[in-house]
Amino acid sequence: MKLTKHIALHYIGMTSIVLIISVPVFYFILQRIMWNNIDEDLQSQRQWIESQLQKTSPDNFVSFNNNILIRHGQFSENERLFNEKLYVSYDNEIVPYRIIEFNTTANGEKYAVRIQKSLLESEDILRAIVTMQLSVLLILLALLVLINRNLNHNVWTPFYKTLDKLKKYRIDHDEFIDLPDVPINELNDLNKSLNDLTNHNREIFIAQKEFTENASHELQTPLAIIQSNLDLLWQTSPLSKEQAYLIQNLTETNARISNLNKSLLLLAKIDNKQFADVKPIDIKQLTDKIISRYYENFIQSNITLSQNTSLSATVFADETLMEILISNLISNTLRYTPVNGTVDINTTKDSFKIGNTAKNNQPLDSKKLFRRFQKQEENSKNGIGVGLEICRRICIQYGYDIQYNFSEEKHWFEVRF
Amino acid sequence: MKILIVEDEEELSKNIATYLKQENYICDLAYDYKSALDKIYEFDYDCILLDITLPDGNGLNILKDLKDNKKADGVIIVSAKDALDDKLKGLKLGADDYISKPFHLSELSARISALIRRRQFDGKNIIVINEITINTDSRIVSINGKKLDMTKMQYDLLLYFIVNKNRVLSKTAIIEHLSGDHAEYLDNYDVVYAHIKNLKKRIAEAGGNDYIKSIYGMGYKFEVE
Repeated sequence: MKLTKHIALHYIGMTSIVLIISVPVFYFILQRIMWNNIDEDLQSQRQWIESQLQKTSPDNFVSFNNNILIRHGQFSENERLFNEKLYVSYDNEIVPYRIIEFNTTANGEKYAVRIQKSLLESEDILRAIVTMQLSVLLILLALLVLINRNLNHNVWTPFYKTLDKLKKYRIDHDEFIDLPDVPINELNDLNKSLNDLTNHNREIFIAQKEFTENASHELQTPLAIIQSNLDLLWQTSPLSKEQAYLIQNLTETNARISNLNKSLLLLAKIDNKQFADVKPIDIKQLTDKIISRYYENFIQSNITLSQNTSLSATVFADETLMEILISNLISNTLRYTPVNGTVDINTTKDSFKIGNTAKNNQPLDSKKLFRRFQKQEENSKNGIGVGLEICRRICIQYGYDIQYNFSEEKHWFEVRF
Repeated sequence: MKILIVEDEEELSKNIATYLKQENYICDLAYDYKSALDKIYEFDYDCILLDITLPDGNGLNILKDLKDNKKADGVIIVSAKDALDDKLKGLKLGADDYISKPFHLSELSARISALIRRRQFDGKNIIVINEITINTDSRIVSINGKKLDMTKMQYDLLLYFIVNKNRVLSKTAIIEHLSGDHAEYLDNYDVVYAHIKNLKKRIAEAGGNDYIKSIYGMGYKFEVE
């Protein structure tokens, strides 16, 4: 639910409750006040009648006012104030009356007096007042909705803009989030804080990236020195079997470090968008070229290659990157296919799919798969664990979708262009 | 053949020189930008190994200088940066080849040898080792005058052995050479073994001698008197 809607609903809810409670309360209070007025009126009339009765006969009252009834005798109660609905014959309707009945004594004679007063007018006034109050409240409610909608447009728009920018912001893509100044203090503060936060994070991110890059660069020369020493060590004579074994171990290890280092540099370069030579590339042709490079490897492990590449995608991308993408997927597959296994390569108009026989018929952990230094199998001593990460980054750069799934006892990697 | 090694890491420079001297190259060393420039103006080299990142200047400027002065020395750029930019810039400025650190000395030697062969316009692109003759222009190998059919891999491997003759080449150096820029698939040393076995078979079938010796299965050596 949108914040504005949330607030509006609260407002309307509260207002409705106030309205529902206040209108009857208001009505009853007003009614009370009116009755009090009428009661006072009746009381003063009573005093007037009592004083008149001392001087004159009660017959003089009733002849002209049908609202005063005086008879000889006594009511059971000395004084009683009450409402009663009476039928008025000339209007042909029932009208509410406020009535006072009391006993009085004048010149030794006992009288029972009843004064009645129509409530019709006061009821009308009351109704009018309550109706007016209700209308005012309803108008206020309508205004509230309007104001809210207006606020939504004026006040909340910058907020939603900020939110939208924040959603789209990627620390590895965007330079700055660059939120504008807005006239509302709180939103302005929010924007400023977000600007500061993202800029600061971006600086840290860049520093970290540069560190990896620089560290990798700085490692190249020492690695070259080790390598050259090893190469010279190979040439020493006599060379015993034991020495040859040790030197080969060192050479292999050095090659692994160099390879890891190269991969880290490659990742940095992909991140820095240093591959920008975009041209059309036929995926099938590229695949064939790379497969021919690994031809001996297929033969060595007696791996059957089953290709279904009658259709092919043409993508606009950097050739080096596409070559790395496809070749990483193929070499990865070769690395994990058991001897006598099968590798499937399928290309369609918009995808490249590669599958290989699974060593232990278990799906891989697809969450960890594309992350750095997550090796797929415990016993893989030679993989360095960045190949798929590189693939993922390349796919991100071009907006391709790369997926892993496990079916028919095979690991499948699919790139959708 | 005279080679100038422009490299600020003394140990690396000396190791390169040691390896190359055994191939009968004469090596000069320059550890910084200034002395490199001095040497270039003083002598002519068949090949200059040029490190781009020098303490007192960018190696690319030396390359520019060479070309501006129409010096014909061949140049191989050696870079720790492995940056595509540097490679492209270097090749654009007229470098003949590019090799990124770390590299095998045998690989460097192969590159230098290829560069020097390319620059000899007097038809000397023929390498003769006893009964084996390689024409590096037409990429044809013949034994005792008889042409040998080889795959590209086998040819590359043989040439690599011959330019590094009497040297021990580790399995790692061989597989890296064969896979070129795409050395990401380094695990399978069986492939090296298979290639070498096939190459030896091919040479033996054509009546050639068995020059390729295994060094305890860890490396190989093309042994020739």
